[in-house]
Amino acid sequence: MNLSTVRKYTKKHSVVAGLLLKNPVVVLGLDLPFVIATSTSLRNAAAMSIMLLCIHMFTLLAARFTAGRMHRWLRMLCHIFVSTIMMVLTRALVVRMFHQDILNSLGMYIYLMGVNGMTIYQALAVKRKTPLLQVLAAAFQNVLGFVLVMFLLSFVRELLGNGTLWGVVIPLPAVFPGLLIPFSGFISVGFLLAFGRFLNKRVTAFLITESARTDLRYAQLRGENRDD
Amino acid sequence: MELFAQFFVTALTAVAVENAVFARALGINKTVLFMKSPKMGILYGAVLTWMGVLSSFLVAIVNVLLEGRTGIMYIRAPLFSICVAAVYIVTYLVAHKWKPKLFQIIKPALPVCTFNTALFGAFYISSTGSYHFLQTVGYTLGTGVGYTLALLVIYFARKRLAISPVPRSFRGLPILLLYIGLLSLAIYGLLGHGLPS
Amino acid sequence: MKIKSQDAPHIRHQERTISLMTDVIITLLLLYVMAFYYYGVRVILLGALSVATCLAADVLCLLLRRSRPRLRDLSAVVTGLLLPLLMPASVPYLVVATAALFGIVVAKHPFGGVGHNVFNPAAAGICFAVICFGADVFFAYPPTQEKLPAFGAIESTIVNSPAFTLQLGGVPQLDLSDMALGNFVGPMGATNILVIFACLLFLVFRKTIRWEMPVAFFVTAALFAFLFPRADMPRTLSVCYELMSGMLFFGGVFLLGDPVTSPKRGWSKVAYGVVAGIVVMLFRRYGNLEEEFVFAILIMNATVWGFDMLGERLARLVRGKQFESVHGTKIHKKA
Repeated sequence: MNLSTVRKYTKKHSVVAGLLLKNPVVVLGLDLPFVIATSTSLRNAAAMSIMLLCIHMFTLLAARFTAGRMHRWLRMLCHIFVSTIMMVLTRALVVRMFHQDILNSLGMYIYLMGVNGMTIYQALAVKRKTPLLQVLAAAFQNVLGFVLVMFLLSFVRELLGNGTLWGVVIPLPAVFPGLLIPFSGFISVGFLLAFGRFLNKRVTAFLITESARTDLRYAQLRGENRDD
Repeated sequence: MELFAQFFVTALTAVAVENAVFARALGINKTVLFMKSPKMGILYGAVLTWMGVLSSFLVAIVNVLLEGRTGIMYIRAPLFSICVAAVYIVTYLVAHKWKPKLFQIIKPALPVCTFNTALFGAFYISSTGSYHFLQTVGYTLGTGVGYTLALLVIYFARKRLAISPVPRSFRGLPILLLYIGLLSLAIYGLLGHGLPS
Repeated sequence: MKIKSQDAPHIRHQERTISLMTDVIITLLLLYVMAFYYYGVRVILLGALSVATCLAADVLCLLLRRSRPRLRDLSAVVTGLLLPLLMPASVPYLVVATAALFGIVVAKHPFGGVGHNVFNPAAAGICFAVICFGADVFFAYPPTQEKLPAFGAIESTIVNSPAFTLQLGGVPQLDLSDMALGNFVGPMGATNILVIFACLLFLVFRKTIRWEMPVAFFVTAALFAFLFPRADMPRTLSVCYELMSGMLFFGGVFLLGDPVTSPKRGWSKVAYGVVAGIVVMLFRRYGNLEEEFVFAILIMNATVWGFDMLGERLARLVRGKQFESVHGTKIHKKA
């Protein structure tokens, strides 16, 4: 069977695997609390993404330098220290960028970013002598995966739950405020993941049938050449 | 007497009505959602409760010291982290040195359960709600117990869902999240209005 | 070997799934007739919309799951008929459609479809609608005997139900005979107490629902209301008001007894009814909304598996002891 199409797809996809097939939120199940509870508006999503970007990148940078140099428990404390300091600094930045209403609606989740599971988990997984650029690229991919899921969910939840997008009122025939409550977050993430798997199945099935068709075409061509 | 009543009421609220997992979606990740046995859930919950209650003593003192000051949002987070880190170091070293068998059992759970969003969430609620000492300890204890119960509920939910013909796209994490979401809906209905955050 | 295809839930009774559904549909249609007598043609339109939405959502979900929609599967019709009966007659059409969509798409099909759903789809749909549209829309009841317009805004006065009065700690000033005949405000189908009682007797006689669960539930709820009245009134009066106000009686017959989302064994059913009674009354007492029945049902649905497991273990223990007493030898458990 001619798997060249499948191989080409997998090769291209492995570059962005961190976003889709190995998305840290929906596949690895990290940072679920923030995605479920705070993805209620696009501005919330933007604020949380900025927080995670700064905290995650700097903590993984610190993790690269502490890897293999100290006991695991001491490493853990260093990571927590760095992430908490970064959280405080980034919060000060976010306060200047966004309106106080956004921060009030986020409540304590901004503070909880200091101990978010993705950063802790990925920081402990960084190995000694990994190239610095590789660590930073992986960290950036994690954050992008989080951002993708947050913005997708926030778009749907804000539009259908509040009738607004980035604070701009969109005239809709009906709104469902129940979508802004954490239970809807659970249900939305579940449906998003199921939809992602459904799409992945369709794409894989299409590629397999495509490669089978290519196989058949080549076989027919070879058959014709032989006749000639 | 009234203080103890407040302690119990706060603890009970944290267990049932403001459950860390079902009402606020805190402290969940793939490890705790896909535990291999209920014993593991009880272990994780017990470690979280232990670390939480010990840290809450220090956190309550920090809250008292920070009361009425301006700009506390900048120093509160590092101070909470220091409190929890202190308890973490003491527990780690004491268990490692004097209780090696216990240490081997709690070692995988220790980092996940100490620096957990559920615990820190309880601390922030007690800080913003200006809870006094007993209320802080009660709320953290209730959070820990509620978290343990939630983990057990999730474990038995997985067992129940394993015998249903769930569509292939939904098997595993999605259907479990839907289950937790519907339970969260039921608990939210009991409360009926927004939670303090 | 002849293998018969039968739809889930696979209950070892004489009747099949379709006869269960048709029995429930007959009783629900009777309640629609009563509601039509009180509130007019709007009731029928709400029911029709709900059934149409449920059927459409059901067919769509089945097609997405690559299953063939079957005509004999009437579970979506039952859900569709149940939903408006739990709402006031003045409820907007959108609320009914939302509840129907949520119930079928979120609470039924992802869990496996007919016979495998963990949560009652009607209860889940109502819960979502209550939270989305709020108590102002959901618990605002029009007075009885006032025919409502089929379309357009409802201009009639809004009356508070006895459940609302009880929640505030007051005593509803209603004649008990009026309450039994359904001449008081409340959810469309939940006020006709005598008719619902007749439906219960019909369903028990037809073996659609076993008698253990509703009896255990109502006895426990009555005992709770007797021991802990919510207001300063005679205990027997408290029992009557608590049982007849809100969704409790209707829910105890139609939602609690749903064969899919309730335990299978006799003793499990009794235990489930007792615990459900306690949970529902506690929710009513300490909940923020005037009617917390549907939320309590969702929580009880999550515990059904536990009741089944305990019932099985108890049955096995009893059978083991009987075997020992008859044969004089112990059963050896497999390693």
